[in-house]
Amino acid sequence: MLWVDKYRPKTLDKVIVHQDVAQNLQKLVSEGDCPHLLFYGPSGSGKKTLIMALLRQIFGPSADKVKVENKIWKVDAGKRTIDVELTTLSSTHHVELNPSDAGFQDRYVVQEIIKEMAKNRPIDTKGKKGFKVLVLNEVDKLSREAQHSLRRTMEKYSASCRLILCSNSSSKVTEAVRSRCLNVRINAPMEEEIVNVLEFIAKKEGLQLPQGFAACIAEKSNRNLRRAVLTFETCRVQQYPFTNNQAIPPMDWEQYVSEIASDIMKEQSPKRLFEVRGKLYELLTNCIPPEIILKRLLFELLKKLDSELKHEVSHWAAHYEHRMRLGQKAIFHLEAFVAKFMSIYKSFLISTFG
Amino acid sequence: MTDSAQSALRRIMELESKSTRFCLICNYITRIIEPIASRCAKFRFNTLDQDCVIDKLQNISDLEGIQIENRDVLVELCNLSGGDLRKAINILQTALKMKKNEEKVTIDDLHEICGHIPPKIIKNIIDVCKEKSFQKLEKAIKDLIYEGYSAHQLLIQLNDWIENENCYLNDKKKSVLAEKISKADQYLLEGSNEYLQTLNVCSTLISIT
Repeated sequence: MLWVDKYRPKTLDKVIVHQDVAQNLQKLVSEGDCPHLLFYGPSGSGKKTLIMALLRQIFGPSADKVKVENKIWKVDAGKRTIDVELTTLSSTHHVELNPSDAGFQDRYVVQEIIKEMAKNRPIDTKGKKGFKVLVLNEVDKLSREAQHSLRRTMEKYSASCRLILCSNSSSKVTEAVRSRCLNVRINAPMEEEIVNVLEFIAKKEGLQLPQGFAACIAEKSNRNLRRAVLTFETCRVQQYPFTNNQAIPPMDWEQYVSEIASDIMKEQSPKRLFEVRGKLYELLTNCIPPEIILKRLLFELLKKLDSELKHEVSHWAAHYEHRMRLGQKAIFHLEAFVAKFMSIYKSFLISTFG
Repeated sequence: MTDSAQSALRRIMELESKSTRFCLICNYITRIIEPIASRCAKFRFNTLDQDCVIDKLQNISDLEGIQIENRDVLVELCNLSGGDLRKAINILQTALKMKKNEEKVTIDDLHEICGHIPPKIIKNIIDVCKEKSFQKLEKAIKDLIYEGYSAHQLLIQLNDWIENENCYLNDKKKSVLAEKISKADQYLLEGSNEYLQTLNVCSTLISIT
Protein backbone atom coordinates (compact mmCIF):
# COMPACT_ATOMS: atom_id res chain seq x y z
CA MET A 1 0.00 0.00 0.00
CA LEU A 2 1.29 3.43 -0.87
CA TRP A 3 2.10 5.72 1.98
CA VAL A 4 -0.31 8.34 0.70
CA ASP A 5 -3.16 5.92 1.29
CA LYS A 6 -1.74 4.22 4.32
CA TYR A 7 -1.34 7.41 6.32
CA ARG A 8 -4.45 9.18 5.14
CA PRO A 9 -6.22 10.31 8.33
CA LYS A 10 -9.37 8.29 8.79
CA THR A 11 -11.27 10.49 11.21
CA LEU A 12 -11.73 14.20 11.66
CA ASP A 13 -9.88 14.31 14.99
CA LYS A 14 -6.80 12.61 13.56
CA VAL A 15 -6.01 15.08 10.80
CA ILE A 16 -2.67 16.85 11.03
CA VAL A 17 -2.84 19.77 8.65
CA HIS A 18 -6.33 21.23 8.61
CA GLN A 19 -7.23 20.97 12.25
CA ASP A 20 -9.29 24.14 12.38
CA VAL A 21 -11.37 23.14 9.36
CA ALA A 22 -11.85 19.66 10.77
CA GLN A 23 -13.06 21.08 14.08
CA ASN A 24 -15.55 23.29 12.32
CA LEU A 25 -16.83 20.37 10.29
CA GLN A 26 -17.16 18.32 13.41
CA LYS A 27 -19.28 21.01 15.01
CA LEU A 28 -21.32 21.26 11.88
CA VAL A 29 -22.32 17.60 11.78
CA SER A 30 -22.59 17.12 15.53
CA GLU A 31 -26.32 17.67 15.28
CA GLY A 32 -26.60 14.96 12.66
CA ASP A 33 -27.33 17.30 9.81
CA CYS A 34 -25.32 19.57 7.59
CA PRO A 35 -25.87 22.03 4.76
CA HIS A 36 -24.63 21.45 1.22
CA LEU A 37 -20.87 21.80 1.19
CA LEU A 38 -18.43 23.07 -1.39
CA PHE A 39 -14.78 22.21 -0.78
CA TYR A 40 -12.31 24.13 -2.89
CA GLY A 41 -8.55 24.37 -2.92
CA PRO A 42 -5.49 23.41 -4.97
CA SER A 43 -4.72 19.76 -5.62
CA GLY A 44 -2.97 17.78 -2.94
CA SER A 45 -4.32 19.95 -0.16
CA GLY A 46 -6.55 17.34 1.42
CA LYS A 47 -10.06 18.04 0.17
CA LYS A 48 -10.89 14.43 -0.50
CA THR A 49 -9.39 13.24 2.76
CA LEU A 50 -11.54 15.67 4.70
CA ILE A 51 -14.65 14.67 2.80
CA MET A 52 -14.10 10.98 3.51
CA ALA A 53 -13.38 11.69 7.15
CA LEU A 54 -16.54 13.77 7.33
CA LEU A 55 -18.64 10.97 5.87
CA ARG A 56 -17.19 8.58 8.40
CA GLN A 57 -18.07 11.05 11.11
CA ILE A 58 -21.69 11.21 9.98
CA PHE A 59 -22.36 7.60 9.06
CA GLY A 60 -19.77 5.63 11.00
CA PRO A 61 -17.60 2.88 9.56
CA SER A 62 -20.23 1.76 7.07
CA ALA A 63 -19.17 4.68 4.88
CA ASP A 64 -15.97 2.75 4.21
CA LYS A 65 -17.66 -0.18 2.55
CA VAL A 66 -17.82 1.08 -0.97
CA LYS A 67 -18.48 -0.70 -4.18
CA VAL A 68 -17.53 0.48 -7.63
CA GLU A 69 -20.19 0.35 -10.25
CA ASN A 70 -19.93 1.08 -13.92
CA LYS A 71 -23.32 1.51 -15.41
CA ILE A 72 -24.77 2.75 -18.66
CA TRP A 73 -27.71 5.04 -18.08
CA LYS A 74 -30.37 5.59 -20.66
CA VAL A 75 -31.34 9.22 -20.60
CA ASP A 76 -34.31 10.72 -22.36
CA ALA A 77 -33.30 13.86 -24.19
CA GLY A 78 -36.25 15.14 -26.14
CA LYS A 79 -36.85 12.84 -29.06
CA ARG A 80 -33.99 10.41 -28.67
CA THR A 81 -32.39 8.49 -25.86
CA ILE A 82 -28.74 8.90 -25.08
CA ASP A 83 -26.48 6.40 -23.41
CA VAL A 84 -24.32 7.90 -20.71
CA GLU A 85 -21.66 5.76 -19.19
CA LEU A 86 -20.66 6.64 -15.68
CA THR A 87 -18.67 5.10 -12.89
CA THR A 88 -19.97 5.55 -9.38
CA LEU A 89 -18.55 4.69 -6.02
CA SER A 90 -21.25 4.01 -3.49
CA SER A 91 -21.87 2.86 0.02
CA THR A 92 -25.23 2.50 1.72
CA HIS A 93 -25.19 6.15 2.67
CA HIS A 94 -23.37 7.99 -0.01
CA VAL A 95 -22.66 7.99 -3.72
CA GLU A 96 -19.58 9.48 -5.22
CA LEU A 97 -19.33 10.36 -8.86
CA ASN A 98 -17.46 12.42 -11.36
CA PRO A 99 -20.08 14.07 -13.54
CA SER A 100 -17.57 15.86 -15.74
CA ASP A 101 -16.39 12.46 -17.05
CA ALA A 102 -19.42 12.47 -19.30
CA GLY A 103 -17.88 15.37 -21.23
CA PHE A 104 -20.40 17.50 -23.07
CA GLN A 105 -23.20 15.25 -21.87
CA ASP A 106 -22.65 16.26 -18.27
CA ARG A 107 -25.93 18.13 -18.32
CA TYR A 108 -27.85 14.88 -18.63
CA VAL A 109 -25.90 13.36 -15.80
CA VAL A 110 -26.97 16.17 -13.53
CA GLN A 111 -30.52 16.40 -14.78
CA GLU A 112 -31.36 12.72 -14.82
CA ILE A 113 -28.92 10.60 -12.90
CA ILE A 114 -28.28 12.84 -9.95
CA LYS A 115 -31.96 13.65 -9.74
CA GLU A 116 -32.76 9.96 -9.72
CA MET A 117 -30.31 9.34 -6.90
CA ALA A 118 -31.43 12.33 -4.93
CA LYS A 119 -35.08 11.29 -5.09
CA ASN A 120 -34.56 8.00 -3.29
CA ARG A 121 -34.68 8.59 0.37
CA PRO A 122 -33.00 6.14 2.69
CA ILE A 123 -34.86 4.99 5.78
CA ASP A 124 -32.78 3.68 8.64
CA THR A 125 -33.56 0.76 10.91
CA LYS A 126 -35.66 2.78 13.30
CA GLY A 127 -37.82 3.91 10.43
CA LYS A 128 -36.50 7.41 10.78
CA LYS A 129 -35.99 9.35 7.63
CA GLY A 130 -32.34 9.87 6.99
CA PHE A 131 -30.53 11.72 4.27
CA LYS A 132 -28.21 10.66 1.57
CA VAL A 133 -24.97 12.28 0.56
CA LEU A 134 -23.88 12.79 -3.02
CA VAL A 135 -20.22 13.59 -3.51
CA LEU A 136 -19.49 15.27 -6.81
CA ASN A 137 -15.88 15.69 -7.89
CA GLU A 138 -14.40 18.29 -10.21
CA VAL A 139 -17.43 20.54 -10.21
CA ASP A 140 -15.36 23.30 -11.79
CA LYS A 141 -15.08 21.21 -14.95
CA LEU A 142 -18.86 21.00 -15.30
CA SER A 143 -20.38 22.98 -18.12
CA ARG A 144 -22.47 26.04 -17.38
CA GLU A 145 -25.74 24.33 -18.23
CA ALA A 146 -24.94 21.45 -15.95
CA GLN A 147 -24.20 23.80 -13.08
CA HIS A 148 -27.48 25.58 -13.63
CA SER A 149 -29.39 22.32 -13.53
CA LEU A 150 -27.48 21.40 -10.43
CA ARG A 151 -28.84 24.30 -8.43
CA ARG A 152 -32.40 23.23 -9.17
CA THR A 153 -31.64 19.74 -7.89
CA MET A 154 -30.03 21.16 -4.79
CA GLU A 155 -33.13 23.11 -3.86
CA LYS A 156 -35.74 20.58 -4.77
CA TYR A 157 -34.31 17.57 -2.98
CA SER A 158 -32.65 19.31 -0.07
CA ALA A 159 -34.88 17.41 2.34
CA SER A 160 -33.55 14.00 1.38
CA CYS A 161 -30.13 14.62 0.02
CA ARG A 162 -27.00 16.61 0.74
CA LEU A 163 -24.48 17.45 -1.91
CA ILE A 164 -20.78 17.68 -1.22
CA LEU A 165 -19.01 19.36 -4.09
CA CYS A 166 -15.29 19.27 -4.59
CA SER A 167 -13.45 21.59 -6.95
CA ASN A 168 -10.06 23.10 -7.61
CA SER A 169 -11.02 26.70 -8.11
CA SER A 170 -14.09 28.42 -6.83
CA SER A 171 -14.16 30.97 -9.63
CA LYS A 172 -15.29 28.35 -12.10
CA VAL A 173 -18.27 27.38 -9.99
CA THR A 174 -21.19 29.67 -10.69
CA GLU A 175 -22.26 32.15 -8.07
CA ALA A 176 -25.68 30.51 -7.87
CA VAL A 177 -24.25 27.16 -6.86
CA ARG A 178 -21.72 28.71 -4.50
CA SER A 179 -24.33 30.69 -2.62
CA ARG A 180 -26.34 27.55 -1.96
CA CYS A 181 -23.44 25.80 -0.28
CA LEU A 182 -21.32 26.36 2.74
CA ASN A 183 -17.98 27.13 1.14
CA VAL A 184 -15.01 25.48 2.75
CA ARG A 185 -11.65 26.78 1.60
CA ILE A 186 -8.88 24.24 1.90
CA ASN A 187 -5.50 25.90 1.54
CA ALA A 188 -2.42 24.04 0.44
CA PRO A 189 -0.38 23.01 3.50
CA MET A 190 2.53 25.24 4.46
CA GLU A 191 6.02 23.80 4.09
CA GLU A 192 6.39 23.38 7.85
CA GLU A 193 3.16 21.41 7.96
CA ILE A 194 4.41 19.14 5.20
CA VAL A 195 7.60 18.59 7.20
CA ASN A 196 5.47 17.65 10.21
CA VAL A 197 3.55 15.10 8.19
CA LEU A 198 6.75 13.62 6.75
CA GLU A 199 8.21 13.32 10.22
CA PHE A 200 5.04 11.66 11.42
CA ILE A 201 5.27 9.09 8.63
CA ALA A 202 8.98 8.54 9.21
CA LYS A 203 8.30 7.86 12.87
CA LYS A 204 5.59 5.35 12.09
CA GLU A 205 7.78 3.63 9.52
CA GLY A 206 10.75 3.68 11.86
CA LEU A 207 12.96 5.70 9.54
CA GLN A 208 15.63 8.25 10.33
CA LEU A 209 14.67 11.47 8.61
CA PRO A 210 17.19 14.31 8.70
CA GLN A 211 15.60 17.73 9.24
CA GLY A 212 17.19 19.29 6.17
CA PHE A 213 16.07 16.54 3.87
CA ALA A 214 12.43 16.82 4.94
CA ALA A 215 12.54 20.56 4.36
CA CYS A 216 14.04 19.92 0.93
CA ILE A 217 11.22 17.57 -0.08
CA ALA A 218 8.65 20.03 1.22
CA GLU A 219 10.15 22.83 -0.80
CA LYS A 220 10.24 20.79 -4.01
CA SER A 221 6.64 19.66 -3.60
CA ASN A 222 5.10 23.06 -4.38
CA ARG A 223 2.99 22.78 -1.24
CA ASN A 224 1.32 19.67 -2.58
CA LEU A 225 1.13 17.15 0.23
CA ARG A 226 0.37 14.18 -1.95
CA ARG A 227 3.36 14.91 -4.12
CA ALA A 228 5.57 15.34 -1.07
CA VAL A 229 4.59 11.98 0.37
CA LEU A 230 5.04 10.25 -2.96
CA THR A 231 8.47 11.82 -3.44
CA PHE A 232 9.38 10.77 0.08
CA GLU A 233 8.49 7.18 -0.70
CA THR A 234 10.42 7.25 -3.98
CA CYS A 235 13.50 8.55 -2.17
CA ARG A 236 13.13 5.80 0.40
CA VAL A 237 13.29 3.21 -2.37
CA GLN A 238 16.27 4.89 -4.03
CA GLN A 239 18.52 5.37 -1.08
CA TYR A 240 18.34 4.70 2.63
CA PRO A 241 19.61 5.93 5.10
CA PHE A 242 18.82 9.43 3.95
CA THR A 243 21.42 12.13 3.72
CA ASN A 244 20.79 15.84 3.87
CA ASN A 245 21.92 16.50 0.32
CA GLN A 246 20.32 13.52 -1.32
CA ALA A 247 19.13 14.32 -4.83
CA ILE A 248 15.39 14.46 -5.24
CA PRO A 249 14.44 13.22 -8.66
CA PRO A 250 12.73 16.11 -10.49
CA MET A 251 9.63 15.52 -12.56
CA ASP A 252 10.93 14.57 -15.99
CA TRP A 253 8.44 16.71 -17.90
CA GLU A 254 9.45 19.78 -15.92
CA GLN A 255 13.02 19.21 -16.93
CA TYR A 256 11.93 18.78 -20.51
CA VAL A 257 10.05 22.08 -20.47
CA SER A 258 13.06 23.87 -19.07
CA GLU A 259 15.11 22.41 -21.93
CA ILE A 260 12.60 23.81 -24.37
CA ALA A 261 12.84 27.20 -22.68
CA SER A 262 16.59 27.31 -22.99
CA ASP A 263 16.34 26.20 -26.64
CA ILE A 264 14.07 29.13 -27.34
CA MET A 265 16.34 31.58 -25.56
CA LYS A 266 19.40 30.44 -27.52
CA GLU A 267 18.10 30.83 -31.02
CA GLN A 268 15.05 32.43 -32.57
CA SER A 269 14.47 31.10 -36.06
CA PRO A 270 11.88 29.10 -38.00
CA LYS A 271 14.20 26.13 -37.84
CA ARG A 272 14.35 26.24 -34.06
CA LEU A 273 10.59 26.70 -33.92
CA PHE A 274 10.23 23.49 -35.88
CA GLU A 275 12.42 21.64 -33.41
CA VAL A 276 10.49 23.04 -30.49
CA ARG A 277 7.26 21.90 -32.05
CA GLY A 278 8.56 18.34 -32.04
CA LYS A 279 9.34 18.60 -28.36
CA LEU A 280 5.95 20.07 -27.56
CA TYR A 281 4.32 17.21 -29.40
CA GLU A 282 6.37 14.83 -27.34
CA LEU A 283 4.96 16.37 -24.14
CA LEU A 284 1.41 16.36 -25.43
CA THR A 285 1.55 12.72 -26.48
CA ASN A 286 2.70 11.91 -22.97
CA CYS A 287 -0.55 13.37 -21.67
CA ILE A 288 0.80 16.50 -20.02
CA PRO A 289 -2.12 18.95 -20.08
CA PRO A 290 -1.36 21.83 -22.48
CA GLU A 291 -2.16 24.62 -20.03
CA ILE A 292 0.29 23.14 -17.57
CA ILE A 293 2.96 23.09 -20.28
CA LEU A 294 2.26 26.72 -21.10
CA LYS A 295 2.30 27.76 -17.47
CA ARG A 296 5.55 25.99 -16.82
CA LEU A 297 7.10 27.35 -20.02
CA LEU A 298 6.17 30.88 -19.00
CA PHE A 299 7.67 30.27 -15.58
CA GLU A 300 10.93 29.06 -17.09
CA LEU A 301 11.10 31.91 -19.60
CA LEU A 302 10.37 34.57 -16.99
CA LYS A 303 13.31 33.34 -14.96
CA LYS A 304 15.67 34.20 -17.79
CA LEU A 305 14.11 37.40 -19.09
CA ASP A 306 14.86 41.08 -18.61
CA SER A 307 12.25 42.75 -16.51
CA GLU A 308 10.99 45.08 -19.23
CA LEU A 309 9.86 42.16 -21.36
CA LYS A 310 8.16 40.23 -18.59
CA HIS A 311 4.90 42.09 -18.75
CA GLU A 312 4.51 41.66 -22.47
CA VAL A 313 5.35 37.98 -22.37
CA SER A 314 2.92 37.24 -19.57
CA HIS A 315 0.26 39.15 -21.46
CA TRP A 316 0.72 36.93 -24.48
CA ALA A 317 0.79 33.80 -22.38
CA ALA A 318 -2.59 34.72 -20.91
CA HIS A 319 -3.84 35.53 -24.38
CA TYR A 320 -2.84 32.24 -25.96
CA GLU A 321 -3.97 30.19 -23.01
CA HIS A 322 -7.42 31.67 -23.39
CA ARG A 323 -7.44 30.90 -27.09
CA MET A 324 -6.33 27.38 -26.38
CA ARG A 325 -9.36 26.99 -24.14
CA LEU A 326 -11.70 28.12 -26.89
CA GLY A 327 -9.96 26.24 -29.66
CA GLN A 328 -9.65 22.55 -30.26
CA LYS A 329 -6.05 21.74 -30.97
CA ALA A 330 -3.64 22.86 -28.31
CA ILE A 331 -0.48 22.59 -30.37
CA PHE A 332 -1.40 25.57 -32.58
CA HIS A 333 -1.65 27.87 -29.63
CA LEU A 334 1.44 26.57 -27.88
CA GLU A 335 3.38 27.06 -31.05
CA ALA A 336 1.88 30.48 -31.62
CA PHE A 337 3.04 31.48 -28.17
CA VAL A 338 6.57 30.25 -28.85
CA ALA A 339 6.65 32.09 -32.18
CA LYS A 340 5.34 35.27 -30.57
CA PHE A 341 7.92 35.02 -27.86
CA MET A 342 10.70 34.52 -30.39
CA SER A 343 9.63 37.60 -32.34
CA ILE A 344 9.41 39.75 -29.20
CA TYR A 345 12.75 38.57 -27.93
CA LYS A 346 14.50 38.88 -31.27
CA SER A 347 13.33 42.45 -31.83
CA PHE A 348 14.37 43.28 -28.28
CA LEU A 349 17.84 41.88 -28.93
CA ILE A 350 18.17 43.80 -32.19
CA SER A 351 17.07 47.08 -30.64
CA THR A 352 19.46 46.70 -27.70
CA PHE A 353 22.55 45.27 -29.32
CA GLY A 354 22.01 46.28 -32.95
CA MET B 1 -38.18 36.30 -20.65
CA THR B 2 -37.43 36.62 -24.33
CA ASP B 3 -39.00 39.43 -26.29
CA SER B 4 -41.36 37.12 -28.14
CA ALA B 5 -42.58 35.55 -24.91
CA GLN B 6 -43.18 39.01 -23.51
CA SER B 7 -45.20 39.98 -26.59
CA ALA B 8 -47.34 36.89 -26.14
CA LEU B 9 -47.87 37.80 -22.52
CA ARG B 10 -49.04 41.24 -23.52
CA ARG B 11 -51.89 39.74 -25.54
CA ILE B 12 -52.95 37.52 -22.67
CA MET B 13 -52.87 40.41 -20.25
CA GLU B 14 -55.26 42.36 -22.43
CA LEU B 15 -57.67 39.55 -23.10
CA GLU B 16 -57.96 38.29 -19.56
CA SER B 17 -57.86 41.61 -17.79
CA LYS B 18 -61.45 41.13 -16.64
CA SER B 19 -60.75 38.02 -14.62
CA THR B 20 -57.07 38.16 -13.81
CA ARG B 21 -54.61 40.66 -12.44
CA PHE B 22 -50.96 40.08 -13.17
CA CYS B 23 -48.21 40.75 -10.73
CA LEU B 24 -44.83 40.80 -12.43
CA ILE B 25 -41.44 40.86 -10.75
CA CYS B 26 -38.21 41.73 -12.50
CA ASN B 27 -34.69 42.82 -11.67
CA TYR B 28 -34.28 45.33 -14.48
CA ILE B 29 -37.12 47.39 -15.88
CA THR B 30 -35.10 48.05 -19.02
CA ARG B 31 -35.44 44.45 -20.05
CA ILE B 32 -39.24 44.57 -20.04
CA ILE B 33 -40.68 45.53 -23.40
CA GLU B 34 -42.40 48.87 -23.54
CA PRO B 35 -46.00 47.62 -24.18
CA ILE B 36 -45.97 45.51 -21.02
CA ALA B 37 -44.36 48.22 -18.94
CA SER B 38 -47.01 50.67 -20.03
CA ARG B 39 -49.80 48.30 -19.03
CA CYS B 40 -48.64 48.01 -15.45
CA ALA B 41 -48.48 50.29 -12.49
CA LYS B 42 -44.82 50.33 -11.52
CA PHE B 43 -43.34 50.05 -8.09
CA ARG B 44 -39.65 50.57 -7.79
CA PHE B 45 -37.77 48.84 -5.00
CA ASN B 46 -34.55 50.50 -4.04
CA THR B 47 -31.72 48.56 -2.54
CA LEU B 48 -32.18 48.47 1.18
CA ASP B 49 -30.78 51.24 3.26
CA GLN B 50 -27.62 50.21 5.09
CA ASP B 51 -28.92 51.25 8.51
CA CYS B 52 -32.08 49.36 7.85
CA VAL B 53 -30.17 46.18 6.96
CA ILE B 54 -27.97 46.52 10.01
CA ASP B 55 -30.95 46.98 12.29
CA LYS B 56 -32.59 43.90 10.87
CA LEU B 57 -29.40 41.86 11.27
CA GLN B 58 -29.01 43.11 14.81
CA ASN B 59 -32.59 42.15 15.49
CA ILE B 60 -32.09 38.63 14.12
CA SER B 61 -28.89 38.08 16.02
CA ASP B 62 -30.52 39.25 19.25
CA LEU B 63 -33.41 36.86 18.77
CA GLU B 64 -31.14 33.94 17.86
CA GLY B 65 -28.66 34.76 20.57
CA ILE B 66 -25.70 35.19 18.26
CA GLN B 67 -22.73 36.82 19.91
CA ILE B 68 -21.38 39.54 17.69
CA GLU B 69 -18.13 41.25 18.47
CA ASN B 70 -19.23 44.79 17.67
CA ARG B 71 -21.24 46.85 15.26
CA ASP B 72 -18.38 46.95 12.74
CA VAL B 73 -18.98 43.27 12.04
CA LEU B 74 -22.50 44.03 10.91
CA VAL B 75 -21.32 46.94 8.78
CA GLU B 76 -18.78 44.64 7.11
CA LEU B 77 -21.43 41.98 6.64
CA CYS B 78 -23.55 44.59 4.94
CA ASN B 79 -20.72 45.54 2.60
CA LEU B 80 -19.89 41.93 1.79
CA SER B 81 -23.43 41.10 0.81
CA GLY B 82 -23.73 44.21 -1.35
CA GLY B 83 -27.05 45.23 0.18
CA ASP B 84 -28.56 41.80 -0.42
CA LEU B 85 -30.39 41.06 2.82
CA ARG B 86 -31.03 37.40 2.04
CA LYS B 87 -27.38 36.81 1.38
CA ALA B 88 -26.44 38.64 4.56
CA ILE B 89 -28.80 36.50 6.63
CA ASN B 90 -27.46 33.34 5.02
CA ILE B 91 -23.92 34.34 5.87
CA LEU B 92 -24.92 35.10 9.42
CA GLN B 93 -26.58 31.72 9.79
CA THR B 94 -23.52 29.93 8.45
CA ALA B 95 -21.33 31.88 10.85
CA LEU B 96 -23.52 30.73 13.70
CA LYS B 97 -23.25 27.10 12.61
CA MET B 98 -19.48 27.28 12.58
CA LYS B 99 -19.38 28.77 16.07
CA LYS B 100 -20.92 26.58 18.68
CA ASN B 101 -19.32 27.42 21.97
CA GLU B 102 -20.69 30.89 22.55
CA GLU B 103 -17.83 32.38 20.61
CA LYS B 104 -18.20 35.80 19.11
CA VAL B 105 -18.54 36.29 15.38
CA THR B 106 -15.68 38.39 14.03
CA ILE B 107 -14.95 40.11 10.74
CA ASP B 108 -12.41 37.42 9.87
CA ASP B 109 -15.08 34.74 10.16
CA LEU B 110 -17.24 36.59 7.69
CA HIS B 111 -14.36 36.93 5.25
CA GLU B 112 -13.65 33.23 5.54
CA ILE B 113 -17.26 32.27 4.87
CA CYS B 114 -17.58 34.52 1.83
CA GLY B 115 -14.24 33.45 0.41
CA HIS B 116 -13.21 37.08 0.63
CA ILE B 117 -9.46 37.64 0.38
CA PRO B 118 -8.11 39.27 3.55
CA PRO B 119 -7.13 42.92 2.93
CA LYS B 120 -3.61 42.09 4.09
CA ILE B 121 -2.98 39.83 1.09
CA ILE B 122 -4.42 42.34 -1.36
CA LYS B 123 -2.26 45.05 0.13
CA ASN B 124 0.77 42.81 -0.18
CA ILE B 125 0.12 42.25 -3.89
CA ILE B 126 -0.33 45.97 -4.49
CA ASP B 127 2.83 46.79 -2.56
CA VAL B 128 4.79 44.24 -4.56
CA CYS B 129 3.53 45.82 -7.75
CA LYS B 130 4.62 49.21 -6.46
CA GLU B 131 8.11 47.84 -5.88
CA LYS B 132 8.11 46.68 -9.50
CA SER B 133 9.49 43.35 -8.49
CA PHE B 134 8.31 40.69 -10.87
CA GLN B 135 9.82 37.82 -8.95
CA LYS B 136 8.02 38.74 -5.77
CA LEU B 137 4.81 39.16 -7.70
CA GLU B 138 5.06 35.66 -9.11
CA LYS B 139 5.50 34.32 -5.63
CA ALA B 140 2.66 36.41 -4.20
CA ILE B 141 0.23 35.16 -6.84
CA LYS B 142 1.34 31.59 -6.45
CA ASP B 143 0.78 31.83 -2.72
CA LEU B 144 -2.62 33.36 -3.29
CA ILE B 145 -3.65 30.39 -5.40
CA TYR B 146 -2.09 27.87 -3.03
CA GLU B 147 -4.13 29.41 -0.24
CA GLY B 148 -7.18 28.51 -2.28
CA TYR B 149 -8.48 32.01 -2.91
CA SER B 150 -10.20 32.48 -6.20
CA ALA B 151 -8.76 34.67 -8.92
CA HIS B 152 -12.19 36.01 -9.66
CA GLN B 153 -12.45 37.33 -6.12
CA LEU B 154 -9.04 38.99 -6.52
CA LEU B 155 -10.28 40.82 -9.60
CA ILE B 156 -13.36 42.04 -7.75
CA GLN B 157 -11.29 43.30 -4.86
CA LEU B 158 -8.70 44.93 -7.10
CA ASN B 159 -11.57 46.70 -8.77
CA ASP B 160 -12.81 47.92 -5.39
CA TRP B 161 -9.32 49.17 -4.72
CA ILE B 162 -9.31 51.19 -7.95
CA GLU B 163 -12.57 52.83 -6.97
CA ASN B 164 -11.24 53.60 -3.53
CA GLU B 165 -9.94 57.12 -3.02
CA ASN B 166 -6.66 55.87 -1.52
CA CYS B 167 -5.62 54.42 -4.86
CA TYR B 168 -2.45 56.12 -6.06
CA LEU B 169 -3.08 55.75 -9.79
CA ASN B 170 -4.27 58.63 -11.93
CA ASP B 171 -7.48 58.35 -13.89
CA LYS B 172 -5.89 57.30 -17.12
CA LYS B 173 -3.95 54.47 -15.51
CA LYS B 174 -7.03 53.41 -13.61
CA SER B 175 -8.94 53.00 -16.83
CA VAL B 176 -6.14 50.91 -18.36
CA LEU B 177 -6.17 48.61 -15.38
CA ALA B 178 -9.95 48.43 -15.26
CA GLU B 179 -10.03 47.41 -18.88
CA LYS B 180 -7.51 44.67 -18.18
CA ILE B 181 -9.54 43.44 -15.23
CA SER B 182 -12.72 43.23 -17.26
CA LYS B 183 -10.94 41.32 -20.00
CA ALA B 184 -9.42 38.90 -17.52
CA ASP B 185 -12.82 38.39 -15.93
CA GLN B 186 -14.25 37.39 -19.27
CA TYR B 187 -11.38 35.01 -19.94
CA LEU B 188 -11.77 33.44 -16.54
CA LEU B 189 -15.45 32.86 -17.18
CA GLU B 190 -14.52 31.12 -20.39
CA GLY B 191 -12.33 28.81 -18.39
CA SER B 192 -8.82 30.21 -18.66
CA ASN B 193 -6.07 29.45 -16.21
CA GLU B 194 -6.31 31.51 -13.02
CA TYR B 195 -2.60 31.94 -12.53
CA LEU B 196 -1.88 33.26 -16.01
CA GLN B 197 -4.78 35.70 -15.95
CA THR B 198 -3.94 37.15 -12.57
CA LEU B 199 -0.28 37.43 -13.49
CA ASN B 200 -1.28 39.35 -16.59
CA VAL B 201 -3.45 41.80 -14.65
CA CYS B 202 -0.85 42.37 -11.95
CA SER B 203 1.99 42.77 -14.42
CA THR B 204 -0.06 45.51 -16.06
CA LEU B 205 -0.22 47.17 -12.68
CA ILE B 206 3.57 46.94 -12.47
CA SER B 207 4.11 48.38 -15.91
CA ILE B 208 1.83 51.39 -15.38
CA THR B 209 3.10 52.44 -11.98
